[in-house]
This record gives sequence, C-alpha cells and structure tokens, in this order.
Amino acid sequence: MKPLWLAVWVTACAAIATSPARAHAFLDHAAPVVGSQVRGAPSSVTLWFTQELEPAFSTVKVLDTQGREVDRGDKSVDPRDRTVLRVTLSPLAPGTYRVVWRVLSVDTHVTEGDFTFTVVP
Amino acid sequence: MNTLVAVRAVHYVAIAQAFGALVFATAIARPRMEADAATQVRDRSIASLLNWSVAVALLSWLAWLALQASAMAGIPLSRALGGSTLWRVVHETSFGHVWLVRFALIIALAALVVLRRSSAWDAHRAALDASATLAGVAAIATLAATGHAAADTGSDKLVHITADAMHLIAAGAWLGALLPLVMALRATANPLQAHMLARRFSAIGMASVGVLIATGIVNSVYLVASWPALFGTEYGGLLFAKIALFVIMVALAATNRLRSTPQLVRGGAAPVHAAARIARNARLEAALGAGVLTIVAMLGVSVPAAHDQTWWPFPFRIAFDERTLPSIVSAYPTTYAHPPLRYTVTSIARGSALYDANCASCHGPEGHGDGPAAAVLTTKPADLASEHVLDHLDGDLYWWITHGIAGTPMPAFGAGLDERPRWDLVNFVKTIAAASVVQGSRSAMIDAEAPEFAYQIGLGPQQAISGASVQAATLLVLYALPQSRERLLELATAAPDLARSRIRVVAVPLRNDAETTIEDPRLAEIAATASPGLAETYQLFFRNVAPADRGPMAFLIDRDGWLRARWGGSGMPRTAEFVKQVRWFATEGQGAKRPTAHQRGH
Repeated sequence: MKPLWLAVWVTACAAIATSPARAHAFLDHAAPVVGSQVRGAPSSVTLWFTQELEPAFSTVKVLDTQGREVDRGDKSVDPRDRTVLRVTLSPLAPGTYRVVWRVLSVDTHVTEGDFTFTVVP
Repeated sequence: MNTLVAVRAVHYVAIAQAFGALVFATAIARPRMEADAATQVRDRSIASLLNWSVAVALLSWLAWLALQASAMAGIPLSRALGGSTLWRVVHETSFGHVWLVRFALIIALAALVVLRRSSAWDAHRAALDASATLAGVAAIATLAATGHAAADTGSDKLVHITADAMHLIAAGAWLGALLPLVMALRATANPLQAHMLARRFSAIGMASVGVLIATGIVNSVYLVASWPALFGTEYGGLLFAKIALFVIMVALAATNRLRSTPQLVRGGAAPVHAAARIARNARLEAALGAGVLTIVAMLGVSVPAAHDQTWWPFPFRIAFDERTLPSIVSAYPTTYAHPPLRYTVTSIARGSALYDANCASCHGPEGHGDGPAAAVLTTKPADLASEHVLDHLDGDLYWWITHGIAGTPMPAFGAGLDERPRWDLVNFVKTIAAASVVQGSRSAMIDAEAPEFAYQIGLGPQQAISGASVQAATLLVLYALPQSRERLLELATAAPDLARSRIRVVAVPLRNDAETTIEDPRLAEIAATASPGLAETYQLFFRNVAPADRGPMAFLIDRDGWLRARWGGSGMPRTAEFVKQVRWFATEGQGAKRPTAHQRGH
C-alpha cells in the first residue's frame, strides 16, 4: 500500500474508533414472566436468552423498590443449557421487584436490561 | 468497544497480508523461472512486508484481548490490564480459549518467519515456507471462532463456522497476495516472468472469488436471514457497502486478467505498459480490500441484521399471498419493525382502554367504523373488526397510528401517545380483526394467534401457554359463579384424564371478585389466576354471544400458541361430549392450515 492509502485507511479506522458501537444477546423470556403478577413469593428468578452465555461475565440481580438486593447472590448459568441464567431469592414480601441483568454471550457481545414483576399475596 | 473495531480492522489487514505474502512466496513465486539479482530484490521486499505484517498481527492480537476484556467486564481499559480480568477472560471464556490458540499460532508463525530470514536455513526454505503457510491458514481460519458464528449451536454452528473460515482463507489468499504481486512486477524486467506471475496470481484470485461468493451467501443466510433485514438494517447497509467494494475489486481483477495480462506477451512497448497497469490495479484492489476488512471489523461488533430493528427504506413492498399472485403494496419505514412488546392479553387490554379513549368516537365501539363522529366524515373510518386488517403487517398499523393517513381524517397519534401504547393499540386492533373472522365460524374450529398469557394454579409455578418448556395444549375455561359451578366440577373430574392426553385445564374467573372466585378444594387442580386482561381479551372472541349466555367459555390453545377451537353460550355441549371434542381438536384437528403471513411478536 502506498503511504497515501495507508494514511487514508488509518484515518478511517480512527474515525470509526470514535463512533458508537452496538452489541447483542437478547432476553427471550423469564420466570416470573416479565411485567407479571405472581401469587406467592417465587424462590428464584430464571432468564432464558437467545444465545449461550459466558458464566464468568454474566450477572443478574433482583432489587426491591428501595434498591436493596433481595437475591442470594448465587447467580449461575445452567451447565446443561448455557442460555439459562438463574438466581435464588430470599423470601419476598408482596411488592414490586426489579430484575437487572448484564450478560456476555459466547460471541463476545455484552447486553443488559431490566424488568419488573410483582408479588401479590 | 469502538477502539476494538479499529484494532480488529488492523488485525484483519495484518493477518491477511501475512498469509497472502506466504501464499505468494509458496504458490506464485515458485517454482522459480530464474534466480537473478532482480528476484532476490523481490524476495527481500516481500520478506520485509511479511515480517512487518506478522509483527502488527501479533501486537493487534494482544491489544484485541485487552480491549475485549475491558468490554466484557464493563470496566475501563486501565483497570482491565491490572488485576485478574485478563486471566479470567483467557481462562473462563470461549473467546479466551480461542485467543490462546490463535496466540500460539501467531507466535509459531512469527518464529518460522524469523527462521526464514537466516541464511543458515536456506536449504530448508521450501519446508519453512510450507510450515509458515500452514500456520497462516490456521491463524486466519480460526478468526471465524471469534465472530458471530461462534454463537450458533448444533449443526448450524459447524456449517456457519466452516463457511466463515473458508471465506477468511479465500479473502486472505487474494488480498494478501496483491502487494507482493506489485513488488514482483516492479522487480522484474522480463515480460515472460511477469506473465507467468500474473497468470498464477489470477488462478488463485479466481478460485478465491468463487469461494467468497458461495460462502458469503451462506453467512448472509445465517446473519441477515431475510430481505427486509438486508435492506432495512445498519448491518445490511454495511453489507451492501462491502459487496459494492467487492464488485469493483472483481472488475479491476477481471481487467487485469482479460485485458492486460495477454498484452505482457505482445511485442513492442505493450508489455511495459501492461505491467504498469496490472500493478496499478492491484494496488487499487489492495486499498479497496483494506476498506472491505474495515467494514468486516464493523460488522463484527454490529447486531446481525437478522436480530436488529428493521427500518424499511422503500415506499412499497412485494406482498406474497397464498390466494393471489405477488403484488406490490404500500410500505412504510416501520413495516417490518419488530414490536417491542409481545402479543399478550395485558397489552391487548391496555390497547382496549386506549381504543375507547382515542379511537372509538370514529371507528365505533366495536371497531366497525360507525362511531358517532363518523357520520360527519366524508371519508368513512375503516372497519377495523374485519379480515382485511390482517392483510397488513403490524408495522403498517403502527405507522398509521403514529403518523395518520394522508388524505383521510385519520389523525397522527405519535405526539399524544408513546411508542409502547401505540403498539398496545396495534395488538388490540389485530385482536378485534382476528375475532371478527372467528365470529363468522359456525363450528367450534377456529384458527388465530392466541393472545399470550401466564397463569398459576394455586401457588404453583407460573406457566406459559407456548414455548420450549410447554408440553401440553391449554384448555382455557372462563367461568362465572354460581352458574358455572357444576360444569367446573365435571371438568375437574375429567382433568386428570385430559392431562394424560397432554391437555391442561386452566379455569379462570371472568371477573376477579369474591363472588366469582372460588376456593373449593375439589377445583384445586384447575383453578388458576392469570395475567391481567385475560378474561377481557378472550371475551372479544365472543362478542356476538348475548351476555346472559356468556360463561363458561372455553378455548383450546395448542403448544405453538394457536387458538384451535372455542366453545361458549349455547355452542357448549354437555361435558362428556365437550371433552370428546376437545380431545379431537387437540389430536385429529391439527390438520387445519395456519395462516403464514401473520407476524409473531418479537
């Protein structure tokens, strides 16, 4: 490559380096169902994703309305089905809870999101 | 993440250049025609290019790990470099394992390239070059395992990764051999030598183009999947740019092969000019190739078109209909949009309330276009409770609700309602249209997408009506007390037997109050609570039944989430006969054809 071309290409790479990037691996469904009302406190929250996850860098937390963590901090990816992320819960009082997740899929992309569910007596 | 794109681009160019230089040294420059001073100059400059490419490939691969670790852990680069993050990435992730393997391959490649420089190894030159080329093939092919193909599963993964690896090898052999060709043409004054080099090069080039096209199509099927996604996503746009550059490169290569190469063996001054033209075109191809690889780096971190939001660029689309020939119909930017919310009873119930507040005055309480305001309108509002609505895609309805319809009184609601409420309205309108078709059916058999809901029997686990974990069809029974009590008790008795036939009885009260809800232990196996809006939504399928006759109503929903049959009012036979019919629809009745045009919720 001539120095001129090289310069053009390096400039293009530098320009790209400053533009926004996007990534993917989506939540397919969850239990409790996203946005739903559950009778009785669920013992765990399970999330199914559209791609296999990297356990080392995939996390999920469950928070109450005050932002306190109500899960047991034992999140794990199912070794038999690596699209499934689960965390167990302390006994929940009726109320609304927010599930916050951040996952890394095996194609190296990070995605994050959150949803709520409500426990009714 | 953005710096990562640049580093990926640099790495692709470097590894392709290293591999292509080796391909040139082993397959194009050999067997040698002559070993004169000019050939030595050529070989030295190609060796220098190779050394630099391998060095850059190694450095960019190290930088790739650091940037990837920072992105994976969601921490700044400076923190990712210290501590245990790098180790965890290498040790615990698939990317890390691939990184280690490729690191070893690039080190091996570097070692062979260094040995190649020393004159002590001259006797083993051919063996060294062959080994280095093999290491190069492996280093470039294993890039496939760092991309989107790695996320596939089963046989798809094998096909996709193989296609991707072949694509990379072909691209590297072609693009990387371009600059060595330029150097070789510059070094030789012998037209016969130049002719031989150009011919050998284009044989490899043509094979590469063939492989690139075939494997490129395979990769697109996996990552783009549909025409709307190709035309309507960022990923598709990048792919178009890449293909455009590729087409120009192939045109340049064809000019070299068909026009300039034959002139190398003509008399007079023609060979000198031809060699200069070939070299100029090859340089141009190399520059465009670097552009292609930069686009590849961007594609690598983009959402594949098959999974991304689609923004349709044309004002028309081709509608494929089972009943008529394909036709050209109007389309809008959101025509192929993926709804951000699913087709659930809760969304439909919200849509129903929004409809009453915003739409009913013109479109009428039941959607027939006969609202009180309709009388004064010269262009009458559309009848929404009608089959024609189902000919449109969800994204068309969304566009009309958002932007109105020009030339008609239909106003735009984009300013007054947020995105999600507008999709709620789409879901509601789809439901009353589907219900209007169903209401025309005299038999119990119907065919419509079932509005989704979740239910719980007692305090048991929350369950869905469709999806991978659902093993049974759902018989949804909507009841009111006291009139349905006897029927429910009979169904509770029949429930274990139905369960053995993979039919789950789910009884939900029509109204959620103390009068209609039962706490009867005999009904513990079927009494359920369900998502808000369930009874309201499913009653839409019985609008033509007089209220006095309503309840119980029953709906059979198969495991794929399709409504197969419904019973209610006077159409509900005695329980023994009813159970027989349910069983028949759940097994024999599966032959009924499903509409294919309906878009499922995302």
